[in-house]
Amino acid sequence: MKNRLEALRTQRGIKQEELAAALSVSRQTISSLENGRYNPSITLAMKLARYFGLTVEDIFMYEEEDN
Amino acid sequence: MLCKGKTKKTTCFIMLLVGIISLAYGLIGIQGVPDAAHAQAQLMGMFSGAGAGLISVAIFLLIRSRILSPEKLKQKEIESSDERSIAVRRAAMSVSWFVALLLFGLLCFVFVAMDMLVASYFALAAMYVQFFAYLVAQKVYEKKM
Repeated sequence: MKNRLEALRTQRGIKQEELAAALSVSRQTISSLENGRYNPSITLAMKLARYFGLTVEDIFMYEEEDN
Repeated sequence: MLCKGKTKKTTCFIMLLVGIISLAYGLIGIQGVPDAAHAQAQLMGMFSGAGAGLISVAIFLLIRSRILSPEKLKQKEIESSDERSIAVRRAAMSVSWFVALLLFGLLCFVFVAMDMLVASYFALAAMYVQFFAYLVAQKVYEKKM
């Protein structure tokens, strides 16, 4: 699963710590999400989408090889 | 569910209570053990040790919850309930489960080689219990999810 999280975050001038605090997750989770090492739960994906005012599909891109 | 990582105050107090009971049982129990009964004395020592350990951990957690500032406590809570941390802990636990299963199997062979048949039966029983627990847990979660 690819995502545009880092781009969206830097575009809006938000620090990883701020995003983590807003979503009640650790900074490491944000970092892992941005690096593509960790795929979020649906709940966290929805929270991220709501935070940025976008849809989940706007942030996360499903790729066939993920399966 | 396991691995959620939240340590509530109630859990600390239960740990403290179990620790005190275990320590008291070990300390009182050892008084009535005859000098020749080494195994019984060792068992009482184990009760005392486990009790002291539980008390220490419970006191440490209770003191930490009082010393740490609300911000740091909130941060600690976020770190322990963080979904990635939970996923990491679950992955680590599944690996350790498999290692423990292998270890019990290995111990069976080691104990038989050492001519300790009773111990090897215990290791074998532990292996079966662990695997049975896995099957039960799987059934329970199949119904839940």
